[in-house]
Amino acid sequence: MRSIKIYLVFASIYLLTAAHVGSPNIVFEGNAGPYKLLINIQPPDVVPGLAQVSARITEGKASNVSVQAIYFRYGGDKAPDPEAAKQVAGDANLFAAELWLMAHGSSSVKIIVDGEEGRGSTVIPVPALATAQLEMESELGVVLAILGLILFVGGATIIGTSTGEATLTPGDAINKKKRNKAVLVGVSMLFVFSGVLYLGNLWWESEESSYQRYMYKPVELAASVNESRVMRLHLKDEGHFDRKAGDLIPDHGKLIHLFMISDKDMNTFAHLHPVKFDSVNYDVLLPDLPAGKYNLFADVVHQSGLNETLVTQISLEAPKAQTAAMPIAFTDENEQSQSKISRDEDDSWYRFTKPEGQQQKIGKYIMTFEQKADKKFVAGQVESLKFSLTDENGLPVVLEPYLGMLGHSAVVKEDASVFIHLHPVGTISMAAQEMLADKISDDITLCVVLDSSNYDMSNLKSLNPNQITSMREEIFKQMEEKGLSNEVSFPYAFPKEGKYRMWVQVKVNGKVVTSGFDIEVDTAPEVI
Amino acid sequence: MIKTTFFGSQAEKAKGVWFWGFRSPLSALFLVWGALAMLTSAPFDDWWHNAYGLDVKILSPPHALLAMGMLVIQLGAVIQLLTYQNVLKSEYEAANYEQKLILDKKFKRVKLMYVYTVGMLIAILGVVLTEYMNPNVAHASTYYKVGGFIFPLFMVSAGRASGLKFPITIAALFYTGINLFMLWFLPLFPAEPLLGPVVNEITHYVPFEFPHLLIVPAVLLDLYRNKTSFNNDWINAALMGTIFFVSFFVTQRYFSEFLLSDYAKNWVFAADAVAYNWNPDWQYRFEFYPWRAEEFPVLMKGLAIALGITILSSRLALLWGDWMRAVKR
Repeated sequence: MRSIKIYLVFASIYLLTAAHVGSPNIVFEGNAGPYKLLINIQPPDVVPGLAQVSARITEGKASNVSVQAIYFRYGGDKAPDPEAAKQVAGDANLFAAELWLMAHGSSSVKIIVDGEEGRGSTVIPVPALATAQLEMESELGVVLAILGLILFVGGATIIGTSTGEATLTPGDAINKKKRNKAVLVGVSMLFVFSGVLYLGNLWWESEESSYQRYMYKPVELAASVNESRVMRLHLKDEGHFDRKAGDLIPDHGKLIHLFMISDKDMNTFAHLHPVKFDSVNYDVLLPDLPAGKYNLFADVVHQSGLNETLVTQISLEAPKAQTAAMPIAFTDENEQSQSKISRDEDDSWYRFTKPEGQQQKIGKYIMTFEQKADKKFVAGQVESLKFSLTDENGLPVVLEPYLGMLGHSAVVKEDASVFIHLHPVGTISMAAQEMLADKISDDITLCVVLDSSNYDMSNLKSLNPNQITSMREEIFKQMEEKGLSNEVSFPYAFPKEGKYRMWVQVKVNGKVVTSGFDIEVDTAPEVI
Repeated sequence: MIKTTFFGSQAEKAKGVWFWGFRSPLSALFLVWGALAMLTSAPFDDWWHNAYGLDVKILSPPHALLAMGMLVIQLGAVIQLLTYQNVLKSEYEAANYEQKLILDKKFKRVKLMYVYTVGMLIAILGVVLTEYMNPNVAHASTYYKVGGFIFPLFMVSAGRASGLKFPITIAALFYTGINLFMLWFLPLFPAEPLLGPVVNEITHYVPFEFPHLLIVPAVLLDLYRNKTSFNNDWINAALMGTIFFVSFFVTQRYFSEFLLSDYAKNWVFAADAVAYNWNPDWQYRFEFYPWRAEEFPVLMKGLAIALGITILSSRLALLWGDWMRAVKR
């Protein structure tokens, strides 16, 4: 066996705040039977804890929406009865509910919609993971300390006086001896109470340490690169609820979706698919990315439907023969011969160029961010981020299914504290949804995976986008007839204010086309 | 307390005690302390849930504070009755025959109410301590250490403080009655679990455990009190502690075996009742937990410590009983 000489080892472990880096909210856009929904779920950060669910019906007339907590380990049979969501006053299509998630690990919220068109259900993976490390706020601490002190000294006084004045017949005056005894008892009670407090504190500490034991610890990711620029990802899993080393399942046909984004400037972006070496090691042939430090985000789904984003960093040296000016797509002819690992055909990488207004030119295509230039994005608000692809003449270019969808997107905050891999269905993993739906006996509407059976592009050749611009209407008409699209949209709620970069990846003529846009997000206005 | 301090007559004030400048009946101080402890536990518990998740168990530090508040309020009620009882007693001693007849009835009612509150207190404690004292752990010494500390403290002290002939027995009867009432009547009402996972399908309220057979040590303790009594309370404590420990150990050890057997799987003993979040097929459901089993020497040592604890608790209880007999404000 060839020894892998590791010449670059750099790994740092991020402190994660959730399975999804810095972006715990779950947004889903899809169907429940005949109804179309937009769901936003805020998972609990302690377990047992409350998940906040909001469901907007975007198509169809719903009369009732109910939600049900379903755990991977226990399945639909052992779930409690569904709870009715309340219709939000003033909005007939918006329903909200609070739902207890009681068991750690892979769990989900089943959404049941009843209305004019009957019943429809879907299931949304919502991990129940203890991620909170809560310190007591100083105000609460002060209030509790004062109350505690009153109880402490007050209790001792009461017991002291119990042995003194309280034993006297009403009206009798207390004598010195009795008073001294009362004081002595009171003071000794202070010591007894101190002992009780000490034991209480020991108890608290043991509860704290058992909480720590159950706290979510993400799979640790370590990356190293060898001479042939093969990067090895090592997944170190000490085990957690519904998760063990080497239990990854493919999502969109890939075990790992790895996003490499250059640190600070975020100008270089790669979406790669490492292949399995053994259950805890995955290899990927690196493209000719320029030297520098990269943030690595690896999206994985476990057998239980638990979806995680693993994080690490790596510093890359310059490739051996670096081209002076970096092209939009890196060439890889030289590497292919050196490495036994072949490149995954869906791997793609990209160098950011500043868009002109809301449009970015990539080769002969133009990607447009369908959003007013002065649009204000607000943290916590669910938005549909829509993009369309045209050619240089402004004619629509039909998108091909890329990994089963019309597009993929990655969103990163400037300081790398937020990362999310988005799909047209939202933040959820379709593989996770499938695993959880397997545990429910009812009819569950799953996300649609696009292929030639439901997205037929075979007759598209008749569309010749090089013809005159008046063809435009005709192309749209044909697209509509065949159910094809040149648009892709991603529902998402930015978790906090700041500068984000969003990469949008679509497939045209068998090639992945990537574009990048900068988005600035404001703080949510204070609700009074 | 506020009323006595600011608006109380001289006579009312004289019935109170000093507390940080206030004048108040002692029982009111207990009530205030208990209420304050319960109030304090609320934000503490809320924080606890945010920090560590909802604790679906009886004992956690904030819950312990809440339970302490509840117990102290219950104690406040006990003291109120005791004060009344003791004041009545002084009146009774000074009264003539006719007055005595009138007081007799009143006196008896107050005495009964006092032992009722003791029974109620023991019932609350029984719920709080269930994690240490359920049939599945009744062969381990911890059971007898916890029981030997808590029960004599309330039972022996009640024996000393009450003027009744069989106060401990009556308190134990109240304790048993309250528990059996819940055990037999709650399961008649339909209920469904709203939290999951629902490992055990239930349709009605699930009854709590069958009460401890405290009636056995209670009768023996009362008999001891009525037949013999030494002037030295250390000897009394040693004997009463031993009586309690031996009778409690023997009854619970064998009764727990009965509760885990098929004979107890009926509505009377409700030993087959299991909550929604417990696996009904759990392999240790009707067994003494093997991980709590103790080797013979370890068990003997544990039981010896339990006996020591029981005797010390009885001594404390006698002291407390003396005080309860004396409290007048």
